[in-house]
Amino acid sequence: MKKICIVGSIGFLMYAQYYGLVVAPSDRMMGDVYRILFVHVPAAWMTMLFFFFSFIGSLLYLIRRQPRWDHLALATAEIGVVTNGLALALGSLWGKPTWGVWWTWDPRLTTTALLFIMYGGYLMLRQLLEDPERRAKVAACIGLLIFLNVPIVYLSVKWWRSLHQVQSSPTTMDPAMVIALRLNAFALLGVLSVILYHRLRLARALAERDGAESLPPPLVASGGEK
Amino acid sequence: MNDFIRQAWAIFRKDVLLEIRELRHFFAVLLFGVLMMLLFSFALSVDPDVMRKMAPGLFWLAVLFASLLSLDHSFRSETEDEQWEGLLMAGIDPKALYVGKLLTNLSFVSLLQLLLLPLMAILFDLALTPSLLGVLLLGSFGVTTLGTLYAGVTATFHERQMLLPLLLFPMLVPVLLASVKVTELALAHDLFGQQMAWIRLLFVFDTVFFLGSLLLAEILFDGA
Amino acid sequence: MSLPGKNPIVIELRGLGKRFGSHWVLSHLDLTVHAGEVVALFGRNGSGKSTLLKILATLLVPTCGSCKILGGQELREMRKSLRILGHAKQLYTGLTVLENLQLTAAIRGEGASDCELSLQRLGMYEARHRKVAALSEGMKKRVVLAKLLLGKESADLILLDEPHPALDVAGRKILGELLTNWRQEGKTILLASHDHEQVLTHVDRLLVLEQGRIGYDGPPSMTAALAEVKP
Repeated sequence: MKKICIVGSIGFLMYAQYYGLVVAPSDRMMGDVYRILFVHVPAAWMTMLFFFFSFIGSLLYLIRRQPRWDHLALATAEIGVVTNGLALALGSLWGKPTWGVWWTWDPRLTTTALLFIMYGGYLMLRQLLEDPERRAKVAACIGLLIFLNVPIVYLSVKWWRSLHQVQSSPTTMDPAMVIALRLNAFALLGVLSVILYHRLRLARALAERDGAESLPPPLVASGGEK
Repeated sequence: MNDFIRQAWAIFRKDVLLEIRELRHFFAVLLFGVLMMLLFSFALSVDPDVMRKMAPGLFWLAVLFASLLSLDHSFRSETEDEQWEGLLMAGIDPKALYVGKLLTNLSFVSLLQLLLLPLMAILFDLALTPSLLGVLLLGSFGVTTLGTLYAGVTATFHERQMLLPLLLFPMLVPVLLASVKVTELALAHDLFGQQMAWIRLLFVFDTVFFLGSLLLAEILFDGA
Repeated sequence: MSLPGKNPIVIELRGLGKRFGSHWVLSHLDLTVHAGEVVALFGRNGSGKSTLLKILATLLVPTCGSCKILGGQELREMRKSLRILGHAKQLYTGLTVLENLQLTAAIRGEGASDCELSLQRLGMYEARHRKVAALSEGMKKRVVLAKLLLGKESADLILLDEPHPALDVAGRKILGELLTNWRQEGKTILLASHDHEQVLTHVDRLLVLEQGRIGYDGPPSMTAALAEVKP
């Protein structure tokens, strides 16, 4: 079953990429360069989605105090940081041919970059906390605050400087492009879900190992020691 | 409620007393702020017109970096000899501890700004307006409300000098942008009345993160 | 003379363990202490005495097992009736002796008159306006003891972690008097120490920790205490 999921999700992603690279027509203005969007946009969407999950994990941990919500917050934040980095790098690559610059201070771009740093700091903080309970507690609080800040950061950057930012809405796009974009989004979601599942399993296994260690050495063994 | 105010006040009073007896620390931070403003100016331009335009940004950067020093310092007196545990054992409400520390940091940073502001006016040839004072307060509240919480969280870390700015500064981007903009607009006498939107943003930030930090302080400042 | 179980239980530990990293500092601890008992806690360095006291003071959370103190009240209420004297002095060296005490009193919500009384009690009244930084080690330790005395009516459980070493001769004498007083007032006391002679005359019960486990639990006796010192 697990293998089917892995193979299936990767196969789906490959099909979606094939659709985006071959089936969808080239853009009248940008030619084939625009196809980078079939990775960039899904990656950006997934970033928001997974950071949202991380927020939910943090919130539920603070309410329920069950380790599994901490695991969810951790795993989704890690995946979110990866897709975040991917979205940033590809956005930059896309920016050069379309806008003529590698980087613009566009609100979405800038917010994404700040998110990358904030969640990077979040993961680093987790690394530095040894005690699992304290780590879960502190991380949940920081995760909550970061997510609260996202709309405020976005708004402030938007007001600060709004550069030629054209939101591509599906209506102005060729239907095949829309299909390709959606296919890729779902395919990426599929692959990331499989990764998430395994990351959660890993987190649980690590916690269980710690849990096993959290049983003190048996009395008998120490008697023999003396 | 009475308990809460009394405890927060006791912490504030204690910290102010310690700061007054160690005034050299305040002066060191002040000098650092001055130095920052000079260095930023050296690094950026010699054209007086350009300098004047950049002055608010330089001012707030200097304030931000100097605040970092004071925030990092603010929990030192609680971690030197496990004083924090002593406070907890005396039955302090962690939220009161947070508010007391916030008051100290807010006073510290506000005073710092008050002294740096005339310097900015002199260095960059600017005419100050009284409305700036309100901005300063809203801005420094934004910096210290999250800053106090984060400083408390990182107080026990070895790596806190790296960790605190890394966690805190990205969170403070809205405060920085809004404060710089409002200062700019106030200095330019706000021809188009754009100031209000930014002030509202600052206000929202301050409220959201004050309440958030207050709630989370219950969890984060309780030791164990 | 262990007291009969009629008094309420103040400390109840069941299968308690505490781990730092991969090292078990405490394990398999079962312990019941009734109100009014004065218990001495002996054990070599690293046997877990301080950790145990910190757990009892609610400052550390045990890794496993249960720990019920003072009938398991709400945390902040419980701390009001707890006093702990640890290794750290927890004094603000930039404040005067009196200001240090006043801070604690203000947080507890007690009057300032209590501060002067407890300073007098410890013979520190004359030094009350001196900065803590300017005091000798022995005097600092006395200030810590004075802080411990604040609001002593509300204290039910007193935990002392090696109070003797840093104290001067006069300070030790005062501590001895305090112990006698507390005992008469029916406070529950746990006293971790290395000074066996000093302590054994003051206690009802002796507990010896060996590598994080209870090695001896019974009436105070010098032989039990000495057995612990042996390698």
